[in-house]
Order: sequence, then C-alpha cells, then structure tokens
Amino acid sequence: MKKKKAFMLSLLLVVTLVFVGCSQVNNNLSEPNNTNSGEESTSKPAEETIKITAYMSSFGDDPKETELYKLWKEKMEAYIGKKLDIEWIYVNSDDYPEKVKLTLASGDTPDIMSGVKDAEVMFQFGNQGSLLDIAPYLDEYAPNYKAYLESTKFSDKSMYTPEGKMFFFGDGFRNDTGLAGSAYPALYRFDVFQKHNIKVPENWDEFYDAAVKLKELYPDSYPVNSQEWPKFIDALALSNHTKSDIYWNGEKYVYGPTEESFKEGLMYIRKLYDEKLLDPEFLSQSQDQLKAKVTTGKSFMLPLAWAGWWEQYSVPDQGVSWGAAVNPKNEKYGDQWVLGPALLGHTIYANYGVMVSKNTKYPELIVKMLDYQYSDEMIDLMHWGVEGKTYQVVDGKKEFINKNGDWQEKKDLNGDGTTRQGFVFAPQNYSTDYIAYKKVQFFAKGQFEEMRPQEGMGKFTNSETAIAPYEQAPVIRLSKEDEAKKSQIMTAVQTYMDENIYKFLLGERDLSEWDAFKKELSEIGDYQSIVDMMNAQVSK
Amino acid sequence: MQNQYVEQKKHFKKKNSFLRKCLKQRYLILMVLPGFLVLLIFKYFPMYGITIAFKSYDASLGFLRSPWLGFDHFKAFFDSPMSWRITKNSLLLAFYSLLFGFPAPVIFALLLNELRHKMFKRTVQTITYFPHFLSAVIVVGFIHEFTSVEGIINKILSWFGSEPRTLLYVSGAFRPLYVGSSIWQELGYGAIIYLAALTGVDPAQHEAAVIDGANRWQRLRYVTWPAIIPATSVMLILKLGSVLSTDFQKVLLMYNPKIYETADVIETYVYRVGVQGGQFEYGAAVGLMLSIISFFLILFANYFSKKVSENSLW
Repeated sequence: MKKKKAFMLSLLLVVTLVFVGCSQVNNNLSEPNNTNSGEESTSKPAEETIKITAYMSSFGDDPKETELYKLWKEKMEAYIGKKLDIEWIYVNSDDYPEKVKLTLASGDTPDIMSGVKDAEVMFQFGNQGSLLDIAPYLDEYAPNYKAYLESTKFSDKSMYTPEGKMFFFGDGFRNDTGLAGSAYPALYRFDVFQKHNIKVPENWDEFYDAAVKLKELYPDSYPVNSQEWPKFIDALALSNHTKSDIYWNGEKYVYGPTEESFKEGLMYIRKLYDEKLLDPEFLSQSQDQLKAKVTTGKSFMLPLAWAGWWEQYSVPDQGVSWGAAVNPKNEKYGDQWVLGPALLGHTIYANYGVMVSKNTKYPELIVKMLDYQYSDEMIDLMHWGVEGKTYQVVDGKKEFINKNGDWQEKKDLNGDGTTRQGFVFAPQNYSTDYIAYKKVQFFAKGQFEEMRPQEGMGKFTNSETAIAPYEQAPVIRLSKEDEAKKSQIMTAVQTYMDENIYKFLLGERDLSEWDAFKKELSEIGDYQSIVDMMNAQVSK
Repeated sequence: MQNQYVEQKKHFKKKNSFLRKCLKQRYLILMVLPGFLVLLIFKYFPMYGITIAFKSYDASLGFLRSPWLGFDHFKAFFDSPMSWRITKNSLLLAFYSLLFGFPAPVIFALLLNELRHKMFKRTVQTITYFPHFLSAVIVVGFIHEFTSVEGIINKILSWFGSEPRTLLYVSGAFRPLYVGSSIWQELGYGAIIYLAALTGVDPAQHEAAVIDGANRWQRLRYVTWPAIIPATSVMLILKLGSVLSTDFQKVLLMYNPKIYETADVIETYVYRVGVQGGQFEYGAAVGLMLSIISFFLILFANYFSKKVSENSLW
C-alpha cells in the first residue's frame, strides 16, 4: 500500500517535471522569434545574442509592450554592440519586496533585479554573497554612473560598505535646469494685495506689516492662515535654518527644537496669534475648513503651501485670485532654505536602486547597460521621448507637445507610463517632472509674472543656499537594536515636544519658560544620546 | 479476551455513531463551513504572526526564522515615560464609555417601548440608527464643524456667557466629546437587540399588572425590565471584552498634540512608535498584551455574572 502510494507520487513528480521542462524549452524557442521578428532577418547573423532575465518592480502595467520600449532596446543594443534577448518578469510593487527576497534566497537569481526601499536589505544580501560587487567595474564600464556618484555628497558613506564594496546602482536624479526648484512657495491673495497696494512680503517683518494692514481693512478676518501640512512652524524653521526634528546641519546631527532659532520661530507665531492676525484654528482645522476660509475672504496669506493649491483656492467669478511668491525669509539667518528642493545636477538617492546577481554570466555587459541608463541621451529618450513626436524645442528649451491638454502624444509612446521604462529604477528627470504644473502668477522683485511655481522658486532663490544641508546628509544605517531605541525614545520626546509647542503657540505656556521646558524634555527622554549615537555612526 | 473484544466493538460503535451523526447533519455542517473557514483563515492562521512580539523581526529572514528576543518589547513599553499616562487615558476613556455608553441604548429601548404611535416609533428608530453606518471620518468631520469657534456648540455656550474657543484644543473637552459622539452614533443601533427582547414580553403579564393596579413605572420596573435582564447582562459581558480597544481610528482623527494629555491612548501612541517608527514587533507586543487582558476581563465578567444572576455566555 505504502509503496504504491510512493510510486504514484514519484510518477506524478516526474510527469510535472517533464511538463515544466517542456514549457521552458518552448519559451526559449518562441521568445526570440516574438520579440525580434523583423529585425533579426536584417541584422548580421554573426552578431551575438545576450540572453538575460530582468526581475522588475511594477505598478501593474507592462511597459515592454510600448513604442518607447522598442526605441530603448534599439539604443541599448547599439550601445553594447550585441543583440538583446531579455526575459522581463514584472511583479507588482506591493508584493515585490517579499518576492525578491524569496528569489534571492532560492539561489536561482535573475541577472538584474529592481532594488527595494531601505538599502539595508540590499547590503544584507550583498554581504551574504548573492549580489555582484559592482565597485571594481565602475572605472572601466560605468563612466556615466561614476559621474553621478562623484557629484553626490557623502556617496562614499551612503553607497559603499565599510570594505569598499557596492551592491547596487543607486536611484539617479537629473536636474539640468540649474534651479533648485520647490513645489512649496508662499501663497497670497494677489487681488487684495494689489487693490490696497500692499507690498507682497519678502521677509517676516514685511509679512507682519501686511497682516496688520489687512486686519485693519478687514477686521472680521484672520489675515494669516496655515496648511495642515507643511505646518506654520516649518516655514519659520526653513527661514531660521533649523528643523523640528533631528537633522544634519552640515557638520553634524543636532536636535532642532532645542535650538534658539527654533524658539525664535515660535515667538513669531505666538505674536501673530496674540494679536489675532493668525486664525486661532490654524492647528486643528481640516483642509476643507481651510478652503472655505481662503475662498471667502477670511484669510489672505499662507506662508508655506503646496503650489497646486492656488488653483483650488481661487474663485475667478468672484475675483478671488491667489498667487505664489518665495517664502518670507529672516534676514538674520540669510537666504531661506526651501522645502523639498530639487538637488542640482546629477545625484543619487541611496535608498533605492538596481541590483545585479552574483551569478550573472555577463557582469561587464550588465554594468555597461545599467550605466547607459544614466547617460543624458538615454534619460532624454525615457523622459522626453522623440523630438517632433512628444516634444519640440522652443527657444532652445524642450517643451512637450501637448496639443489637447490630455498628454495623448506621451501616452501613444509609452502607454500610461506609470512604471518606469527600462531596468527599474532608471534615473528620474526633474525638467520633465515639474512641467506638468500649471503656470501661476508669481511675484518677485517688484513684479508679477506668469510661470510654473518651481521655476519661480528656483529663479528667485539662490540655488546654492536654498538647499538645506539635511537634504544631502550622510545616510545613517543603524543596527536593529539602535533603531528600536531611537524610535522609542524619540516618540516619547516628540510627543512631549509637540504637546508643549502647541501650548506655547496657543498661549497656555509663556515662552519665558523655555529653559524649564528644555529641561523637562530631556527628562522625558535622552534625545542627546540618540544624536550622539548618530554622530558616532557618521564618523565611523 | 472476551472483554477486550467487547471493548473494541464498543469503541468501533462509538466512532461509527459520530460519523453517522455527521452524515445526518451534513447540511447543517455545510452551512457552518463558510463561517468556520473565514474564522480559520482570517483569525486563526494569522495568529502565527504574534510570534514577532517576542522576536527581533528581520525582513530578509521572515517571520519564522527571525531570532527570538524574549520579553524585551514588553519591557520597553513599561519603561517608556509615557506608559503611565497613555494607560490611564485608555482606561478612563473605556470607563466613561462603559458608564455612559452602555445604559444609553437600554434606556432608549425602554422609552421607545412605551411609545403608542407606531409610525412615530418607527421613524424615530430609523433616524436614530442611521448614524451607525457613518464612518469615523465623517463623524469626526461633524465634530470638527460643531466644535469650531463658529460652531453650534460654541454658539450655545455663548448664551451662557462663555468665550468661544476651539473645543478640540481643550483637553478637558476631549472625553465628553468622544463619549457623547459615540453614544449619538450607536444609540439606535444598540437598542435593536433590547427592542427584540422586549417584544418577547407576554402582553398578558401587562394586563394582569394593570388589573392589579400597577402604574406605568411599576410595570416598567416589574414586568418589562426583568424581561431584558438576560440580554443586558450578555451584552455587558461582551462589552467588557472590548473595553480596552478604544476606537483607535476615531481618536487618531480627533486628537491633536495640544490635548495629548487626555487624548493620547495606548493605541495611538503605539501607532506612532510602531508603525510610524517602523517598530512592528513593539506594536505586536502591546496589541497582544491588550488582547490577553481583554480575554481575562471576559472570563471574569462571565464568572461574576454566573454567580450573581445565572446569566452567562457559557
């Protein structure tokens, strides 16, 4: 009985194995015919075909069916001088992190794999020996990527292991506009400012004066208001060069809320609140409540807001028109930082990337191909498309052809294009990104001009000083235990701090108690020990 | 020898009768099956994930192979300077919810029961259980509107000379708002079960009570109330089991740092440490602890109820 069962089972196994084998053989046979049809007959028979597997994270669509993919492949083949036969496996990004771990653990790894967020995992698999160390290939095969690494601050710390190994290509970002644009300007009711001839503020003193004038003109209003996020205090932190959390100040990590510059910001907001220039509900209101106020003349100034809001806040029929300007600055600290700036030139984001299997047969070629994705011509193709088809050059600047305003030209080339083309994650490009924003009335240097908010923010701030040091901080990889310790201590500290900041802002506590508050805060949790721990990691 | 044979036969018979019973009740079993499977797949299988409460979870190793850590995450919770405050807030919120929230639907059902006009009764019932179907987001949206400076509550308070202010900034107002809005939301829906129990009261008893000269209050006290005591005590036991699980979603939507003092409960704090801070093991540990306490609360309440009133879950 038992024997019979075992026999049946093994028979079943054999049969399935044969089936699996067959289908794989079929795949191998049929695929080159499918993908390379037409071309193969024209190309020289002597040309070598490279067969690789790519395991990619996707948003559910299949980018290899598009026109753009064909162009990408042609370019890639021309660059490496060999035919490509790529088997693409797309896995939905929700499942991807789990699946890629299983794949790596199984040992039968695809040649190229999308990375996963939190580079720790990639470092781990690299150290366990599943991933190719690409560092030795960089000089010879990766000129484009090397340029990215060199222009990224702290890439030596963030991208390499202490032994000098590199296990993934970091996520690239190209900004060739020369502007550190930001999507977070200040928003003002320009129609009201122009009607009463009030100067659009450039610094916090002018901001205060404008609010006082508006309060006199509209006694029922609260001239100043604030978004739920980013918060009012964030605007002050940017101008006063601090942050409401632990941050990298250019030399070391520090805890922002205990700095004098942070307290100064609190005092400013408290002054507006006490003089009833600031909406008393600015900390608790919902987006809908805020919208109701800013569209009906209850508030006229928002010091820091996502640029897209101006359109929703404006009511053309009633003459309500919002526009953008650079956020107010604090002269004492010099030029203001901007929120979420576009880093300049070529930079690497060290928490995503592309990994290469250690078992690949073509390490040099694959490094060469991945590197080619960082080249300007490839980025232009992937993001701008084809000249005359998806974009045109106007006054020496590229602009998308968007005849009907529905981006149909782009869709024809790349489908919905939610998944990045090529080996995910290929570099992003800034100039094609922000161009989807509508033009807004932007005030600067005494005049109003129509432009995209990012262009305004880039043009009228100093790109050298607008980028806060913490935007390019050394990436710190804490151990599991330290990470847990940090989270537990800092949540308690942050809870007590948030609570008291509200009290300071809303008049329940006086700012003369600031020093007492700092002492209480350190009794809640030893934040300084966390900051020290992070600094120790940097100097390692 | 003989004996053994008989034993075996008995055993065989027993087994057989179980199978026969199953066969006989196959349609009943089939009807239970979907519910059983839902419980098994969505409630019992995921329980193996609880182990991460005792582990140092490593995504690359998975649930099963991550190293064991013991009770470190539990210890971390009690070491936190905030643990006393959030536990107190959770318990107080639960206590007030029970104190005011539990009797409300009972009283409401008794009042409805006294209504003569059928159409009116139906209308009231429908209107009052409608809020149950609103999501917490919408209910909290109402609260935001009503408690704002120009909201209706401030208007009413201003008739009594109170300065208008945003009530969601007032730490003392959080618990009344939370409990009050919960009562408003669940009043009608919670009353359904008591109304059902009330329809079971024999009208003959009422008639007899009237003949004996009982007034309305006395009839309520001696005829109607005893009829719903069993339902009430079962509901109370069940309620005790969920007493520690505050409506996390609602608190999260309602609170702001200004009122952490009263509004920050265990769940919201653990959410900030565990989910926002990426410490899932910590979140799992605290969740497990709450579940165990709730489990013992049910056991205790059931035992107590059995002793005192002979009504119990099992």
